[in-house]
Amino acid sequence: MKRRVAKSRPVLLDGSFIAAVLNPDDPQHHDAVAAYEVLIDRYENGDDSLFAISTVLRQYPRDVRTGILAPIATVWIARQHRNAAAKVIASSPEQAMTLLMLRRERFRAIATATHDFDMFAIDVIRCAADIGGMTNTGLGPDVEQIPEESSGSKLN
Amino acid sequence: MSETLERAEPTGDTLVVDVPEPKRPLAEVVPLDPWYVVRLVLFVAYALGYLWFFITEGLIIDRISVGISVGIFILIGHLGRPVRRWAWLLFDISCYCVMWLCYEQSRGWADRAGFALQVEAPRNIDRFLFFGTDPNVWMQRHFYDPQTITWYDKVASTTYFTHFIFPVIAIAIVWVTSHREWARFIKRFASLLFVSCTMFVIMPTVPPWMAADRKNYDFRIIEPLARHTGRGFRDLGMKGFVKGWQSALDWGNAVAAMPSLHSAFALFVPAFFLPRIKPVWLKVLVMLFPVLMLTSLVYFGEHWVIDGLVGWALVGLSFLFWGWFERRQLRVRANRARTAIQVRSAVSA
Repeated sequence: MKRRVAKSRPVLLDGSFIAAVLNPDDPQHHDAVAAYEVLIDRYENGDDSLFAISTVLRQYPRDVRTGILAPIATVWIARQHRNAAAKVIASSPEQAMTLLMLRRERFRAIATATHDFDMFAIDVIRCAADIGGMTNTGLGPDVEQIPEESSGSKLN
Repeated sequence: MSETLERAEPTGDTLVVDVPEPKRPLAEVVPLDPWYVVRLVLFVAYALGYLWFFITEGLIIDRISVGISVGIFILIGHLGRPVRRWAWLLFDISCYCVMWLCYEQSRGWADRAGFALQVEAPRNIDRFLFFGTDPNVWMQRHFYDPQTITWYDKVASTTYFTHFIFPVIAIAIVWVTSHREWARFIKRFASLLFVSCTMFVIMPTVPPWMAADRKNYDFRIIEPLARHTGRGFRDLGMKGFVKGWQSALDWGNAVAAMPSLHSAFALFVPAFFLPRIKPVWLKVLVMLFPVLMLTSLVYFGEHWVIDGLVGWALVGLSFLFWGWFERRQLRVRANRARTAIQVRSAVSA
């Protein structure tokens, strides 16, 4: 029997990750789909809850939102969030909004196809191996651990 | 760091080690929500105000006063939230009010429905469970002293009165902290109330204190019992606050013994939060609370043992049903996404 975590980990899927999942021509497509499949498994197991902000989900037609993006719940963006995001120092308005919602909604991980969030103290998921690495912290029970070298610091 | 150096390889005369930059906390780049501070200050003020009211006026017991106190708490929790969140709150409150109104109304329906009163059945089940002994009578014979209020009288009495604040505080906190968790909580809670109220209507049951009362009722199916529920609580210097409007809205149903909501709620709240508690000893301690509640109810003659056991069983069924339903929802959505991924892969290939 699978071990169930007490409370599922909230994961925010940013616009770049969802775009990479949906676009077969995206260079990150295969990595993103593989990571998304692992996230879906963890979602089904109750280990992760998946979210995306409303401004990202709104870009896609309904059949996509209820199909491939069905497990993803909406984090609604209001005017107050836009105002607050304007005060966040970030490389783009999208990143500012994502950072804001990461903090306001207390997300513990972000799935992204970029390196924009590497510098922040939050779990970053770019491929399936990243999710495996997080099992070392006890967050996920069902994903195989990856060797330490691939997630640790690189030596030149 | 030592591990890093052991694995490092020299490049010429210098050792180049790429030490990752420390991660920046989100708080460094994202300013604090100013409303967060406002809410925090008001929550502290609320807690102090509640404490002051508890000391001067007593524990808020009647449903309307409880509703007002919870309403203030929830309003504070929603200050500065987006309009959409307020709209959800309005909807939630409507559902919440309908739920409690149905609960209150069910007492009136129980009177009108005219189902046969269960008098001896619960007593017989209790006797069967306890090898011919009436647990209410046995407990009072061994522990109750009309002249003395013992420590366990105080513990039992206080446990009994937690029923009026314990679930409500849990609802309010979950409501303010996570709307998703609130939905999970209230689905289970409403199901429990619905089934309980249905049972109150179709299976009105005489409680032990009534079955033993020779002065006002004529059941006489067990030996006389003292109904001393509030004694220990009052002896601690505490009292209950019941506003006058309660009498206008209360359709008191004295024969709503089966199932015991006191027992059910005492299990419900710990059971909901149990997965979040990590130490095993604390889990065990928390789960002793429903046992303490049922023991107190039996000691006071408020309920039969079977009332409490049925209450627990209903909590279990409610959790099992909604747990199954929620897992099914997760499975359905996950499968929908997997199918869509496969279709897209096939199309793009």
